[in-house]
Amino acid sequence: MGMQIGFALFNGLTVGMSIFLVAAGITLVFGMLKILNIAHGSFFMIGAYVAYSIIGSHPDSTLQLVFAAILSGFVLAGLGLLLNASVFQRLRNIGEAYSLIATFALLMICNGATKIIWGVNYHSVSAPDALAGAVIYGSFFAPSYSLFIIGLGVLTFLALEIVVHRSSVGKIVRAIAHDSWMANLVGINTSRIYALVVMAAFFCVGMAGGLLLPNQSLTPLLFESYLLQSFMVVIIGGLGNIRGAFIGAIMLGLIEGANFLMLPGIPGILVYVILIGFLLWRPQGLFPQPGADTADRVEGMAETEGVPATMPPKSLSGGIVAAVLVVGVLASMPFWANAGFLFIVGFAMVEAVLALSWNLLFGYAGLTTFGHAAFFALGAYFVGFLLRQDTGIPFLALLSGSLALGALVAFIVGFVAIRRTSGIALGILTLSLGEILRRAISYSPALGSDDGLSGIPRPQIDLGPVLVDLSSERAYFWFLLAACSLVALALWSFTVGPMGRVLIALRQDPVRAEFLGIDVRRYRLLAFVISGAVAALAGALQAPWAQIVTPEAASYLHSTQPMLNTLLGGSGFFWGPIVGSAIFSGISYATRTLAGLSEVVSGGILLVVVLAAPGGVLGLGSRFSRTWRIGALHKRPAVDELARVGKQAVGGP
Amino acid sequence: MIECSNIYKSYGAIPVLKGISLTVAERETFTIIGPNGAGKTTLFKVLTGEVPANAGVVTFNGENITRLSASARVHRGFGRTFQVARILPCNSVLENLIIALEARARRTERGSLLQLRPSDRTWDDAAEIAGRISLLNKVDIPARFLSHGDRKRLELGVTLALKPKILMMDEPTAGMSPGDRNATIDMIVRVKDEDRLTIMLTEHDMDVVAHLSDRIMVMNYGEAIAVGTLSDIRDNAAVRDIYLGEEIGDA
Ligand SMILES: Nc1ncnc2c1ncn2[C@@H]1O[C@H](COP(=O)(O)OP(=O)(O)OP(=O)(O)O)[C@@H](O)[C@H]1O
Ligand SMILES: [Mg+2]
Repeated sequence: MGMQIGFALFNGLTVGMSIFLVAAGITLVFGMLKILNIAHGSFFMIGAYVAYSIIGSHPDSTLQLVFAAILSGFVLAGLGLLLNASVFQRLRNIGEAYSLIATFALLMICNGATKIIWGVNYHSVSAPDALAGAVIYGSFFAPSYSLFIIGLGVLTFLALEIVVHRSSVGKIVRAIAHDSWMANLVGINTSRIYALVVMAAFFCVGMAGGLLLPNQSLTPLLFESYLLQSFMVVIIGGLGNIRGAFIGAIMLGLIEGANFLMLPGIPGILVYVILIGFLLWRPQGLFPQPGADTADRVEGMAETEGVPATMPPKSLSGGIVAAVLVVGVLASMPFWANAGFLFIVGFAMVEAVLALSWNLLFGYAGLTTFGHAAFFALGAYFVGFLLRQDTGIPFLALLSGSLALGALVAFIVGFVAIRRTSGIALGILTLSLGEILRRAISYSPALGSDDGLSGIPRPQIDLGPVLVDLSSERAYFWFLLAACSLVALALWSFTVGPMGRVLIALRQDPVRAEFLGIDVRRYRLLAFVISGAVAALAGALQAPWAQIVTPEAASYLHSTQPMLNTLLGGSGFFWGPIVGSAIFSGISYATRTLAGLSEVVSGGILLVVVLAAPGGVLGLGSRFSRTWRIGALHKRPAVDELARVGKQAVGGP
Repeated sequence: MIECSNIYKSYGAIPVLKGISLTVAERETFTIIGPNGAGKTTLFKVLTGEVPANAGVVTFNGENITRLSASARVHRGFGRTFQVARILPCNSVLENLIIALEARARRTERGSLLQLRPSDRTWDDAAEIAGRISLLNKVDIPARFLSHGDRKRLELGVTLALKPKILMMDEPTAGMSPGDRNATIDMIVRVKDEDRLTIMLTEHDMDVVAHLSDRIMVMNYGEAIAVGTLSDIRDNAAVRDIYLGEEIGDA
């Protein structure tokens, strides 16, 4: 037993150091640019592929491996320089949620490009002979490669530590991270330093890709393997603190080790449970960085293209005509569209409802969550499971049940989460909850484990005198259309009524809302509950359409879908998410034949939208009509803000 | 009306308020002055519930409100404006006012959830307030396009829509031109009279202080140096030291 514990500890340490090697870069970027780079895992993957292209499957010597790793570090540093100029620089001026989404767009582009360049096949790389063996010391036995990784992790940490805390460059870097405005004022060329830091971070991650190559199976899914852990390290460490990241990485590794000993049946779940506890206990991390969490920053909001309408339009006729047209065209589709396309359209409608529910949080209540798919999966599994059991419960009762289930879970989660966290911490908390649910499902035989529930029958609806049979594709499509339209209409009335106005007030300025007598927490919780309920309903509607539910329904990749749809369409418009869903579905249908292309195209469009038109497609449209109406008025109240900033900087005691 | 005793507040290790006590009577205008960083805004934050105090008690009309949230205090009659005006930037002037009116109405009367548009009375009230703050000609403009002075006025209007009993204004004339400043003084005098308000404010401009205040408290480094009428304060030696010191510093 002692032996086993020792081995688990050692393994944990190795994992921890691997995580640190990957997370060092993301920490640097966050500390400096205040951007949580979601694409970091993808850059790690690209680093690994580049190194693989250099050395192939069987590196001859350790030196060759290290050499390839360094080379790939340089390649990535070049890429970093490019991205800094084209993307990161612009992200500094937009809201936090937008910069998160922009880096997610980068993730999609990178992953797609990787598939196109290197293919989707599996490769494995063996460790060079010198590292393939083990070091044996008494009864203790340690793989050489693990020792190599641990040594490199410590070395990297020491190098960064010395550069950041002891060198003159490090001093400047810290000064900028602390207060870039002042740094600019005293004549530091901040943009050059930013570029330097980004390059350093990319160098680190490229090198990590090469060094960790022998530990991995090289597939286009590699980006996932350290992604979430890297986030956790950044969060635990205190957002941008290298020392914190180092300690956090070791902690994570040891937790993984403990998971292996105590819960061998569900690998990787303990980390999430502990992370959630940690977030609730110390949302600011072990070593909070000044100005790191931007949860209370309201300026970012004013930069967006406005908020959704707070009141119903004076005349409804235009809207009614448009709605009848859209619904009419959709309803006619079973008569002319082919089955594959019809299937996609059905999915798009459900995704649109999911996105509408997410935007209720993002665009209305000002909460950015990353785990929305969890509610969707709850509803989907609830209905899918019960339909397969043939319980005889009426379908409409099942749908109401999924609404109630979603609301209940959202209430419990929201009650704790909204009280304790905000900003990035809330994002990561919801992400972790989603991941826990996904893992829990994929290890539950009753729910079909990884394969999910398949062969879900389509129901009948008993309306007393008439029995509506939904078992055909066509019938269920119409039902889906009716249900989604009704939900959208209900949500719309909610948002243009008094409650919508309350939410819009607190999204723009929670402090002002509180001083209007609005209990901000209570209304945020209300939004959370409604949003969770609708998301669960979307899942419930989808289960009989797809006739299969898999744990992927709860994955964070699915959670990001509503975000992408919303941002693309325009979060400042109630109908934005629907427009976005339509466009995204169109893209993925059009590019379905070449693996990777759809990700590159969708990611590229999303990036352009976030950088050039943060109001989304609808925002672009309304901007044109607005400039046309009040051309002379300009926003950006920067001038009188400056006086205040200047006063604070100079006039303080 | 409002009373606080022995308020202590520190940010991290830095003490910002060191045992502040004060009492404001009904319909009084009570002004807090002091150099930058004295802790005036922090005192406002504690009194209105934006941040909790480390120690001390706040009472309002005899009720201990120390632990109440800001919104709960608003329900009891607090109105607050900020050093840098807080308004809803993406909403129009009229919408800002309507949202405030509805926030108040929700507490006092039962509205129907099925009525999506604000009631006719709300529209009328909003227009009336817009008139009182002289923004009637700008009701449809999104608040982010307003000038600095207009924003401050709108914030006052939004706060008045809540029908507060006590108005707490943090530097109501900060950054205004002399013309705007005089107009604001007149407006404050007028609304105080019309709405029978008690007012607490902080201010740097001595003209404004002299025009509005019944009593004045001078703060420095988190302590109350003196409390009294304008002439009491003028004659106070400690106050003189602070202000003469600051003037030399500024020059
Ligand atoms: N959130 C905060 N965290 C840390 N320190 C703070 C915070 N807010 C204020 N302080 C500090 O507390 C002190 C008092 O600040 P406060 O804003 O109350 O002063 P003030 O009297 O309102 O000044 P001014 O006349 O410039 O408005 C200052 O030294 C300030 O730096
Ligand atoms: Mg102040």
